[in-house]
Amino acid sequence: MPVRTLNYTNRKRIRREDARISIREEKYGSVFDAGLNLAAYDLPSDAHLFVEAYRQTQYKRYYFGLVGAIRIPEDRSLVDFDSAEGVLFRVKVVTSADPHGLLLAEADQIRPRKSTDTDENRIPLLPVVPDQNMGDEIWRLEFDDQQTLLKVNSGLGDWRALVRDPVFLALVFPTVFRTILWRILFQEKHHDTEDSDDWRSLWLRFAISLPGIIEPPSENDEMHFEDWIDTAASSFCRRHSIRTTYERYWTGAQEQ
Amino acid sequence: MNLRRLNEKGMMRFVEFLDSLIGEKPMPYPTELLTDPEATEEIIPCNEIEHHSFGSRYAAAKYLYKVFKDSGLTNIEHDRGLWAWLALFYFDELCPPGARGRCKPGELARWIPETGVSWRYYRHLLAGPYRIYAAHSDNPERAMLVLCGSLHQPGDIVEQIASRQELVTNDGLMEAASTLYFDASSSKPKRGAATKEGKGTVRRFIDILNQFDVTWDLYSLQAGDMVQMLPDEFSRFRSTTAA
Repeated sequence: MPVRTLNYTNRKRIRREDARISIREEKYGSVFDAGLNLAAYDLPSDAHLFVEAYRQTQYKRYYFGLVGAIRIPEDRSLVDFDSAEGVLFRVKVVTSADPHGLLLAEADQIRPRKSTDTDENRIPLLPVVPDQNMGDEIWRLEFDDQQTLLKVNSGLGDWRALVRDPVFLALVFPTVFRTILWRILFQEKHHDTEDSDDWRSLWLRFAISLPGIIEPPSENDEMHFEDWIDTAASSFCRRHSIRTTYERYWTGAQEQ
Repeated sequence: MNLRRLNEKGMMRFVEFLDSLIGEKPMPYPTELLTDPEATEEIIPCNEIEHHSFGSRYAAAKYLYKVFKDSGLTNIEHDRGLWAWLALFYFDELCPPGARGRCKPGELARWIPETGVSWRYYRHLLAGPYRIYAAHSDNPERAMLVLCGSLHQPGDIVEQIASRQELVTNDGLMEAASTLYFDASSSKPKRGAATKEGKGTVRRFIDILNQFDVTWDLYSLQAGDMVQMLPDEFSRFRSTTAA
């Protein structure tokens, strides 16, 4: 049984709607805002409140005062992360009295909204993160416990434009999709599609949402994993007209 | 010598030099690169930097922290060119010749810091210890376990702890780790601390802390509490601490 499911100390789980994080751009870089509503959780007013931002091995912690007297820190800058893409958040409520440091309530893996997002429920399934240390590599897929990131070489200039480029889309995204599904089924051996806090379930749900794709094969049906992934990748390409996209580029390139 | 930073061209030349060291024709140390106006930039305000033989990550970090503390420079930690220049400046100590008289520079991140996404900054041979020292500047001895090693061989313990910002910036945790595993009499990690398998090792310490992390806010815990909470398998290191 995963350790995370044990809860001997009756730690409360803060709902997503009570811990909303949004990111906005300032002149000097990204800053986050937190909308915290803890009234319904019956937490001691002298408990400490922290918000933590993290991505892979990077981490920064912000003190938000006490549950009974929330004090929003002035410094909510994410500049240490260089780019705020793919940064996740955690809200923690911690005892101040004995036993000191006990977790009373927590919300983890909070995906922030961007101030430019129009859809409040939008969850970025594949954050695209610029990386200046990629040398001669153009893109790279990275996994951690919370999500999967598509890193692109920021040395190439406008990395946002790069990932929207039709050739990049056509050649990279089907491979990315296939690799992620492969990782989830073969390596992580994850088949649950219900857990909306788990990036693997979200990706499986995304696959199921494609035309003609049924639930993934069960754990003991490994001989059908590959078929299912092939079908999902094929459906993904059809849905996004990958061939047409590439054909337009390729025909144009040949005519030149 | 006045502190400078390598520009992109300078960093490329530095990489060329490093790459040559593992090839058939190693290039000579490029002294002129330190001051070449085409490859370096002056840092303003001017700061003097001296040649030293540090002997340890701690001594180097302490010196650099002193240099930068009142230097008037900002954003030092993210200045790749500055750290690349410093690595070139202190090259002799950072890359001593091996058994066959050749330097093995290792991965590029040891010389030119990787910034941003993955926080592999800690792998830089000078920026790594500097950042740890700066994060614990009120009491740097608490981070001794990851600062005691030599500059050119940081060791597995540094990789285990410093690779995760969440661990290496935690005061209580770093103090607990040094209390358990740092041997002040030899200025080295205690025997067996860095073993990859076995009871009570640094790796196990991190595993156990990951379990505590589910129930406790590790940043709120004091070093003493943390050490006391550890299971019996750590008694070997706890007892040598008490002695």
